[in-house]
Amino acid sequence: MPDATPSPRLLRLQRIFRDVLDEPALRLSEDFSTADHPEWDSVAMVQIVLAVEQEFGCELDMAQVAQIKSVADILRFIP
Amino acid sequence: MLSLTEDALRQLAPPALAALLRASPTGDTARMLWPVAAALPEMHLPLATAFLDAFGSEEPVDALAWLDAQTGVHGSSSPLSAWLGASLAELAGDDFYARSLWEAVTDADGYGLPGEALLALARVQLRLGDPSGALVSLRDALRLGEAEWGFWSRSDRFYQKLAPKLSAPERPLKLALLSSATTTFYAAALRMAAVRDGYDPTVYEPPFGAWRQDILDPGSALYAFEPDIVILATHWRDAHLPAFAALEDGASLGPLAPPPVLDELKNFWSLLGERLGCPVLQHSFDLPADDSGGALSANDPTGRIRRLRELNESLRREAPSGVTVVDVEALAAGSDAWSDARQWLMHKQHPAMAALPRLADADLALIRAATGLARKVLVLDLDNTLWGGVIGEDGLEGIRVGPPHADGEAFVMLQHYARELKERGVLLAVCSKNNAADARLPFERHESMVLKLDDFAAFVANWEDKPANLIRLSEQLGVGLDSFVFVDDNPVERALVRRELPEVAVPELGHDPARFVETLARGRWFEALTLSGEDRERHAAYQANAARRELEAAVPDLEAFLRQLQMEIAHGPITERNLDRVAQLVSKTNQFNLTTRRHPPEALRQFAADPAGWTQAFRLKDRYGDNGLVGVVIAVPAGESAWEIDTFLMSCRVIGRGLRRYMLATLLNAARERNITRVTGLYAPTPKNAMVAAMYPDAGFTPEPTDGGAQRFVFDPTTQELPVVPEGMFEVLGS
Repeated sequence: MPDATPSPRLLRLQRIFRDVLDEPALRLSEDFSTADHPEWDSVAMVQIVLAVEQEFGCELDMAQVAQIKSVADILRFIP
Repeated sequence: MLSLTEDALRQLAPPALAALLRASPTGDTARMLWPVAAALPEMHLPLATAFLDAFGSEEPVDALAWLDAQTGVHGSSSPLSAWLGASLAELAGDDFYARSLWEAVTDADGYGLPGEALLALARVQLRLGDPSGALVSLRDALRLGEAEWGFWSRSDRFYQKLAPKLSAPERPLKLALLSSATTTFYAAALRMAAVRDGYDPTVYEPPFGAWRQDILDPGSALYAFEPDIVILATHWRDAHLPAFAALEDGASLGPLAPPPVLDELKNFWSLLGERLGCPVLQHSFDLPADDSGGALSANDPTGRIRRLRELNESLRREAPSGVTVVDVEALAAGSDAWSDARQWLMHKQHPAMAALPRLADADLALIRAATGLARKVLVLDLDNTLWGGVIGEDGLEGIRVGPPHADGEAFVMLQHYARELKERGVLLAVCSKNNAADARLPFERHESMVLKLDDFAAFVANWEDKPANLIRLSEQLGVGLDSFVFVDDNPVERALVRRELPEVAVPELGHDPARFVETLARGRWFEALTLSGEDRERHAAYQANAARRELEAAVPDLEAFLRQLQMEIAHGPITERNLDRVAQLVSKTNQFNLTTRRHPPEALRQFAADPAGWTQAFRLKDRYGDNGLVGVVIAVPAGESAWEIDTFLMSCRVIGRGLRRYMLATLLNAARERNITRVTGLYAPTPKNAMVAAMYPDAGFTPEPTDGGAQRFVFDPTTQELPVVPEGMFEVLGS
C-alpha cells in the first residue's frame, strides 16, 4: 500500500465530516482545521463530537473537546 | 490463524460482521464478507457504514461497478446492497444514478430507516437542482424518521442550505426564541419541527444573554423581526431561587412572596402584547435534577423545588389571554435525559440536546393550535385497532376487548383515550373495512366496549378503499381532510392513505396495542389554547347536524326546512365574556372566512374598544341544540364615514342556515344607523375559502379594481337596498 492511503480511522472521520457538513466529496486530512474551514463552526463541532463519540463508543473529556482545533486533535483523543 | 467458512460467517449477527470489517478494513475483507452480508434480510446501518469505510481506500466508481456486478450475480437487490449502492453512487459523483437508487430505497421505507434514506434523497435532489422536491423529501424524513437530536441537527444544516433556494414560502412562520441559555441548538430543533409540520420557518435569536434588553428596548431587533410567535424559554436557573429562602428573624412560616421573576415576566408579557400583539408561549420552570435539598426542597415551604412549583402555578394564574404556558415541568419529568451538566458547562445548553425534539414538539403543537392547524377529527379503524381480532371472522365472542386479556385491556385504554378526546371537542369517526352490521355489533352488544355508537359523529364501514372513505367522512362532517388524524393498525392502509391523502396525519402506530395511546399522544395532534363551552358541546352539535340532514331530506323546500328548525339568534359586540371563544374562531376558521386574518386576543380587544369601528359576535340555537357562538364580524374605520370589513367568518357547522344573510344585514343596518356611506368588503382567497368568493357581489356589493392582494367590494348602506332576512326565520334574543 502506498503511504498516501488514509488510515482507517481517518476514513471513518471523513465519513462523519461528509455527513455533518453535507459535502459528499470532502477529502479529509489530518491538518484539516477549524481555522481553514469556516463551515466547521461551533454547531458543526458539537455535531462532530457527538457523532465521533457514537462512532467510536467513547466520551471525550470537556478539556479535550475544548482543545480540538483540527482533525489531528480528534485522532489523538479517540481510542 | 483463523479460518472461517462461509457457513460459520452466516452464524454471525450484523454487529459481529461489522466488527470483523473494522478489524481489517480493506476492500478484500469486504468482498469476502459480502455474500453473507448481502443475504441479510434487514438493513443494519453500522454494517453498511463499515462496508463503505472498507471500500474507502478504493475509487468509489470501481467499488460501485463491483457491487452492481454482484447484484447481477445474485439476481435481486438486498436491503444492504441497495443502501450501499446508493451511498457509493453519491461518492462516485453520479447523482442521477444516486437519486434513482435512493428513490428505490425510500420506496421500500428505507428498509426500516425511512428518515436517513429520505434525508439522503433530499440532499441528492438539491444537488440536482430540485429544491422543491428536496423540501418534500425533507418533510417526509422528519415525519417518518426518529425525532432524535443528531438526525434533526443534520437535517437542519441541510435546511439552511435549502431554504435560500426555495421560491416563495407557502406557510411562513416567524418565531422569536428568547432565552438566557444558548438558543442555537433549540432554534434548530424548532425549525425542524416546524418544517415537519408544513411551515417555512425563520427563527430569531437575540445575542447571547440579551433577551431581556431585546424585550425592553422598543427599537430592538426583536421588534424589527415582527415575529408571529414569541417563545419565552425560561428554565429553573432564571428564577434565581436559593436552596432554602432565608427567613427574617421571628418571621412565621407564612406563604412566601413569589420571586421577582414573576413580576418581570408579567411586565414582559404586557410589553410584548402592546408592541407585537402576537401569541406568546411561556415555558414553565423545570426543576433542578440534583437539588441539594433533596426531599426537603419539595416539602419545605422555603425549598427551591416547592417554590418553583408555586411559581409555575402563578404563571398560569396570571397569564393573560394570548400567553400560553407550556408545561415544561411535566415534559422534563417524562424525559430520561433532560439535564446534561457537560452540555451546560461547555455550551450553556439547557435542557440536554437529547430532550430538544420533544420540547420542540410541545411548542409546535401549540403553534399549530394558534395558527389554525390543530387537528379536529380522530378517525379510527376497528379490527385490531379498537379491539383485538376480526369481528367478521371471530364474532362477538372471539374478539378481545377488556379483561381478561392484557391486549384486550390495551384496546380499552385506547377507547378511554378517544372518549376523553371527544369530551373536550375532538370529533370521533370510524373508517373500517367491514360489513356495516358486523362493524356495529361490538358497540351494541359487547359489554366491555367503552365507546358506543353515539360517541361517533360519523361511521363508515364498507369494502371501499380507505382514502375514498376518508373523503366521504370529510364531506359528511364538513371538515377538511387536513383536520383528520387517521389511526389504523395496518401498515398497508397507513401507507396508502399517506400516499393518496398527504394532508391527513397518519401516526406510525406500531404493532403493540399497549403503545397505541402513547404513540397517538406523542403526536400532540389535538392541542388547543383554550377549552370553551362549545368544545364540550361540539360533539352533540355535529350529531344534531346529522339529525338536521335527515329533516332536510324530508322537507324539500329550504326555507320551510329552515323555519322548522325554529332558530334563535343572540348577538352583540365582542366583550371579555366571549373573547376566548371569538379568539378561538378567529384562529381556527378556514372555510367560511373572508380574510383568514388570525388576530390574537389583544388585537380583538382593541377592535372592540375602538368607538369608530364595530364588532359583533353571533350565537345560534335551534330545536336540535345550541350551536353556541358561531359567527364573528369586525368592521374597522377606513376614513371619513367609511368602514372596512376586517373579519367576516362563520363556523362551518352552521353553513347554509341563513345566518350569513342575517349577519350581513345586521352589519349594514348598523352602518346605516351610523351614517357610514362606504362599507368595503374584502375577500382574500386561500385554498380553503372558495365557498365565500361570491358573498359580497351576491349581496349587492360592487367590485373595485385592486392592485393584487385581497379583492375589494363596496356597498353604500345609506342609498343601496339592504339584504332582507325573511320574516320569522329567526327569533332574535338579547345579546
